[in-house]
Order: sequence, then structure tokens, then C-alpha cells
Amino acid sequence: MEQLSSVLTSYPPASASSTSHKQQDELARVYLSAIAKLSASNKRLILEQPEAFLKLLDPAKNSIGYLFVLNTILNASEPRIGRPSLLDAIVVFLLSFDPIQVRYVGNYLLPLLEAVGTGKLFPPQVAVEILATAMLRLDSNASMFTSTHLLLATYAYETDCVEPALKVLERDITTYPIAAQKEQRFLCDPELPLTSFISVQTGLTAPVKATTVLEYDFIRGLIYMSRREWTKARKALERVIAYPTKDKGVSKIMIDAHKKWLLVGLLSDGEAPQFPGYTSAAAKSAYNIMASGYREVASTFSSPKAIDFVNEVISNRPIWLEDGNVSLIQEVQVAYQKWQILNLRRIYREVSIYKIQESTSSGETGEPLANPQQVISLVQSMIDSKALKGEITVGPDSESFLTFQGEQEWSSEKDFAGEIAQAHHNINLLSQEYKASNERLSGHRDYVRFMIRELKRADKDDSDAGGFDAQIEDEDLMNDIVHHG
Amino acid sequence: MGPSSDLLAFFSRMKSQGAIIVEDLPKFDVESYISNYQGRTRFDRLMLLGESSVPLCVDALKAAVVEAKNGRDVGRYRGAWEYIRVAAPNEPEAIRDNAWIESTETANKAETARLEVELKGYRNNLIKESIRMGNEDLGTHLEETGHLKEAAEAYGRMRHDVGTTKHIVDCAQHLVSVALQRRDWVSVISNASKVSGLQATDLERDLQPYLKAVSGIGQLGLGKYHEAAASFLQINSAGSLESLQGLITSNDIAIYGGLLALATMDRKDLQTKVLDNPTFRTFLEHEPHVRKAISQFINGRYSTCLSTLEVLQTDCLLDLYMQKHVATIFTRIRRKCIVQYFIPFSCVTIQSLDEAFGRGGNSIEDELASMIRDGALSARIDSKSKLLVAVSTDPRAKMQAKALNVARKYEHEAKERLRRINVIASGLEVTRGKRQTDEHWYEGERTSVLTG
Repeated sequence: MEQLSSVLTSYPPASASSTSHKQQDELARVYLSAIAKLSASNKRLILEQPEAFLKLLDPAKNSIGYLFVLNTILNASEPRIGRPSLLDAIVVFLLSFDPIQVRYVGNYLLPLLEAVGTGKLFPPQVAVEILATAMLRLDSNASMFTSTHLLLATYAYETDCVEPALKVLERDITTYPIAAQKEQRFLCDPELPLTSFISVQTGLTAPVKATTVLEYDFIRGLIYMSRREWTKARKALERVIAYPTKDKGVSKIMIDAHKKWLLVGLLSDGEAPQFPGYTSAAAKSAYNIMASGYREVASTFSSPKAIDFVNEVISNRPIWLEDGNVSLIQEVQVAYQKWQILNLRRIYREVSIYKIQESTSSGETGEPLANPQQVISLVQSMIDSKALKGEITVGPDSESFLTFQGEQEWSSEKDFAGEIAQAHHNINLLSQEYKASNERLSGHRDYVRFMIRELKRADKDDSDAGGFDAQIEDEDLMNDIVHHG
Repeated sequence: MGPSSDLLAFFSRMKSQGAIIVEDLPKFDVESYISNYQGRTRFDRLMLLGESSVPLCVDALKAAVVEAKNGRDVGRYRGAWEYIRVAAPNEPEAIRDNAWIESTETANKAETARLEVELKGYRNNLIKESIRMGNEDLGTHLEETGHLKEAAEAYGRMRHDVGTTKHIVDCAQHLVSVALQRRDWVSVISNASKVSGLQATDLERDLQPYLKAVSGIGQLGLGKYHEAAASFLQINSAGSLESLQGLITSNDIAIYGGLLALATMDRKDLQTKVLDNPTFRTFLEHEPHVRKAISQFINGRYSTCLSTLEVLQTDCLLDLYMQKHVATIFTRIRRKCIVQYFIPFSCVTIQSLDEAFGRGGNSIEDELASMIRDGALSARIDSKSKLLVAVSTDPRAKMQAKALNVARKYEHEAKERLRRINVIASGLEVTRGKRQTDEHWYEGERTSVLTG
């Protein structure tokens, strides 16, 4: 016991912070091999008094050791620890582990995260919260995609506990795990780029495939749809449909995302969305073939002829059923008239309720609303939900009017300056990321090979050109003849 | 006397076929109108009157039957007879002249065969000029008997054996004539432009009115009103107008050019290119109404301008080339008048607009709404105070909005591109080969994940 405790607590040494990265790395590796070599009897010792060992170690300082003990307990068939205390220990660990230390024990951490993310340990609300927090501890921007991302999104969506997951889901992912990567620096270097420590080798992510990424964004789209955040949903789905492809490949997830994207675009912008410029041509043509019905609905959505729209919706009902988009189509139908009313702001400054009733129709029945009261309540609900900026006033003949208000997003110069500064800041951050990517890719094997080939060719061209000049100088035919003659 | 029941039945059929029906009496009668034109266009015009004009229908169809029987085109006779049989079954022309049909058909077939044999003979002799003339004769014959597609092919073959500039012009004119009858506007324009490119000065001067007129008609047919207006306005009245005979009259040129200009040009261009244009003025003199309407528009008397034009509308609706475009052109002119009327104001009562432009007691509000929707008018309607208010843009706010928009868009795009770089760098693109396994995955997942 004594000996075991001294092994487990031997890292990190008290003086660790002052040592160099190299020494730290060595220490960590020595420690790792020491605990890996612990005999079965030692492990049994841990299992006999698990709580004592957990108490012995500080999860924030002795993260490696703590995780090792946790792992040993979790792998045991009958741990002698009450479930509440074990779960407490896991929560404490996941909320406070040292993000540098765990880089060495990804193969222990990932199974733990997976156990949390499949709901084996905690109720959903807790599981999602601590999983998201742990992910942010590992990568504070959550800008690198891992297999855990999909796990989190799927679990949050399935259990309908989305709120605590949003802090991860809303981050922009810009990097992805890279297979083989030569890294001179040490794992404990805090400056180390994400791609160098979050990888399959360190065990911090399981292997990621294209479908993993697509599914993640697709589920994000579904999550935002369930929250009725249409613009965010559209952007998430847009990532799926514009996903890079090669050899004219198109995934079925992309096709399905495109269908939803068309409808969500109608909900968020009131008109059919446009493909991003970088959508691949093969994907576009596949979408156009596969999305019959959806395109018709999208094109009739912005026309004032409600009956055309309703007919398209009704006649394509089998398609909605087959694709499981019935409820989304219903949302679109409800939104139809709202957008018709919103579009009136481009024509009117003040418009009578009677006029709204006359000139817009319901997307569900294709008929105008039956009486002005229904129009007023619809408009009022739009104003209340902040979809419409305006107010209902009563005119001279006690007729009600809707007054549209300006759409400016900011109210003062200061706000505007703030917005611009924010945008500037974001772009600056991005350019740093660009630099990092550029640096990383410059060292990529394929690129280096390509550069070498280019250089060789340039050399060859140069020598060719030089040779030709030289030849001209040499090519003194008369001399030649004289010489031979 | 109202129209007879036969006539009503005829027009309800025409309407169902998509013809434009004009019930008002035009300013001309059939006889005097058709005497202005020559050649095959006469029949087309008579048929159009028959189809569209309620008061002139019977007269026009009778004349059309006579016109068809004067020629050799059996198809035309049949068409005219079909119409008159329904519209006026009691007229003598409504009895089908089978003897004429048979004899003409036989004669036509024999003539076609003869010309083809002749042409074959010329081909065997390899004399270019004869082959060209043989093709021309065959083309003319086919055109006269109504085989327009074959005629165009025969005329097209003439081009292989052209010798002089004159030949090229002949060939192009034949092709233009057929294309006009076939309503093939693109071909009209392209054949006309082939001649314009010849750079034979005296020929060009003689042909200028013809070329400009046919290109104008072609552009009008394609709905390119601005270009068409420019073509008509350039017709040189000093040039030889003989080449226009049978095609369009000076009055037509004035109306086409004037209305199209009014629909597409701004006030300054109307003054300099139309009213002050010495060559076009000669044409305008034939149509004082058009001239008046243009000067009224320039002087800002929009409502009188529109009522002046109203008079012309009926006649235009019965014009062979103008008919289909009348509604669009007149709407454009009307919208332009409303826009011009509104320009100096920041705010106008709807009532005053109703006074100036109102039609038959209907308020102009709906029309304004559709103009704003189409982007023709930059204003907002205030239904409460019954005002039309100009959109006052705050340039500063606009600039700020634009700047923010650009920044956000840039950020978004940069981020997406960075993602793509890294997706590709990690080798995570979707490839063709993965598709199968992908679907397999998907079907499995769908039941578990997506139903939630």
C-alpha cells in the first residue's frame, strides 16, 4: 500500500513547474511506464480500497494517476465503492483535470468520455453538461473536431438535453485530426498546436471519417431545427451540403441535408437559399436531381399565389412522408403567410389590417384568413416573437393598421463601432489560424513532395533554356565544316 | 347590331387558343389597311384581323380567303376557310372550293418536281450560277406554296454558290422574309446582320432602312425593346424606302419607334434621339399622336400623354408584330409616367395620383404596390394617411450596414474555407467509393438517431 501510494503520487514532482518541457516529458513517460507495470496484486489493492486511493490523489494535480485509478475501478467487475462516490469522483475529475497531463493518457480518457456520452453513468442533463465541460477543458475553443463531438451531439439530440451542449456545438470547427504527424515538440508543451496532441495516436479521439463529420453537422442542424433557430440550422446544414468531395462523390447524408436545407432556408430567409460558392458541381447536380418536390415548394414559397404553394405541398406529400420531413413542411406552411406579411414592409410603411387580410393567404389552406381578428392576432404574435418590427395602431375610422419600423440592427454609433471592432477581432483571429494551417501544411509530406518535383522541373527548365542558348553559341556551322574539312 | 352567335362562338374558341381579342372598332377599315402592304404579309395580317378584331372579323376573313385563292398556298386557304366556316357560315366564302384545292395541289406538286429535276440537272453541270438560281426558284416556289421550312433550306443552299455581293444580299433577304413568316426572330436578326457586315457603301445606303427595320422587328419579337427602339430610330428616311414595301409602312415605323422609345428611353434621349432626330421626324409626321405623346411626356404632362396613347392602343393590338407586346409596352410607359411624376416629391397623396393616373374609379394603390414589389418604384405606401412616401436612404446607415455585412460575410467565408482546407488536409473528403458503405451506415443510423 505504502509503496503503491508513493508510486502513484510520484508525479508530478513538486519542482515540476520549473523544469524544462523535455524533463517534464521524460518524467511523465517514466511515471506512465511505472503505473503501466503495476502488478495485478497492486491493482487488486486499489480495488480493495478505491476510495482511499481516490482521496490520496488530487484530480487537478495528479490527473494521470487519478485517471488511472478511475480506469482501474471502472474496468473491474465488482468495484468495492459505492456508485455515488464513484460518480462524484468522475465528475470532480472531469471538471478539474489538468489538460496537459491528460494528453499522455488519451487512451484512458476517451473511454471515460465515451462512457459518459453514452449515458451509462449519469442522467442525460448531467452527462451532457460534464461532457461538454470536459471537452472545453481539453480544447478551450473546441475548434478541433473529435469523435467525442459526434458523441455529444448525438447524445444531446437523442435525450433532448441540448442546452448544456450548446457551448460546444456553437463553436466553429476549423481543424480536423490528422493521421501521421511529425512533431518535434513535447506533448507537455502548452504551445503545442491542437493537431499535434488531439489525434488517434494520443488516443484523445477515435478515428474520424467523412461520415462522422457530416453526421455531426447534420445533427447540429436537427438540433437547431428542434430549437427553431432556423438561421443556425441553415448554416449547419450548409456545411453538410458544401462539404468537400472528390471523384464526384456525394454522400446520402448530403442529399438528405440538402432537402432540409431548402426548407430551413425558406424559414430563415423567406426565400430559397443559394448554394455557397464552394459547393462541388457533382453535389449540385445530384441535389437538383434528388430534390424534386422541394424545389417546387421553394420556388412557390415567395410567390403571393398561396394556392400554388399549397398545391405543391399537398401533391408532394408522399415525398415528405418518405423523407420524414412532414413536421418541417408544416413549419414551412405556417411560415408562409408570416413571410408574406413581412415582405409587405418593402411596399408599405403603414398597411391596414384589412389589406393584409386581403393580400395574403394562409399557407395551410391557401385561403385568406377569415376575419381581421385572426390577422391581428397573427401579426401580434409575430411582433411578440420579434420576427417583425412594428406595431399595431388604430386609425381614424377605428380601422387597425400595422406600422413597420426600421430594421437597423444597432442604435448608436458606439454600438456600430463595437460591432465592427468585434468583426475585426474575429478576422484577426482567423488570420492567425490561417497562418498556423499554412505552416502545418507547408510541412506536409505531399506538399514537400510536390515542391521538390516543382523545383526539379524548374531546374530542368532552366538547364534546358541554358542549354539551348549554349547550343546557339556552339552552333557555328561554318566553323564545324571548316574544322571537319 | 351586336355580333352574331356564330361570331361569338368563333371568338370564344379563339380566346381559348390564347388569341388577343379586340372589341373596339379600330381607326381603319380592312380595305384601306391591307392596301398598304404587299406580298405574303397581307394574308398574315388579314388572318390576324380575323382572329382578333370583333368588328372587322368577317370582312377580314373574306378578304383572306380571296387573298389565299389568288396565291398558290393551299394550307393558307384551308386555314382561312376553317375560320370563316365557324365565324360566318352563311357567307359564300364559307363553302369549301375543293376543285381549286385539288387543281392547285396537283399543279404545285408538278412544279416542285420540275424545279427539283432542273436543279439536279444544273448540279450535274456544275455551273454555279445556275445552281444558285435553281435553288432560288425552288425556294420561291416553296415559299409561295407555304412550305416555309423547305424554302428556308433551299434559300440556305444558295449561299454555297454566291458570286457577288448582290447575291449575298438576295440570299439574306429571302431568308429574312421566310424567318419573319416563321416568327424566327433570332434568324431574322442574324441574317440581317450578315448583310450589315458587308461594307458595300452604296448597297448599304439603299438597304439601310430595310436592314434596320427587320432587325427592329426581330428585336421587338425577342422583347429587346431598347435595342428595337434604337433600330427603328436609325431608319434613314432619306434612303430608299422601296425595300420596305410589303414589310412595314412609314406609319408603322413611327409607331414602333415612338412607342418603344417612350417605353425605354429617358427624357433627354427622347428629346435628342426621337424628336430632334431629323430622319425619324419624317416618319413621325405620319403619326401625330405618337409625336404628341412623346412631347407631352417630355413636358411632364403624364396623364395627357397616357390618354393620347390610349387612342393608339386598339390599332396597335391589331398589328402583326406589335400585338403580343402591346400590354407590356403600355404598362412600361404607364409605370414610367408614374415614376417620373413622383420623382420631384418626397411624399404624394394617393388621391392626387388617383386623379392623375386613376382608371375607371379604381384606386392606383394596388398598382403602386405591384410596382414597388417589382422594384420599379422606390417608395413605401402609407395606407393610414393615404400617402406614397419616397424611400429616404440614410447613406451613413447604408454604408455601415454594408460594411458590417461585408465583414461578416468575409469572416464566414474565410472560416468555411479554412475548414475545407483542413478537411482536405486530413483526407476527409467524401469520395465516390465511400458511397456504398455510407448508405449502409445511414440506414442503420436513421432509425436510431433521426426519429428522436
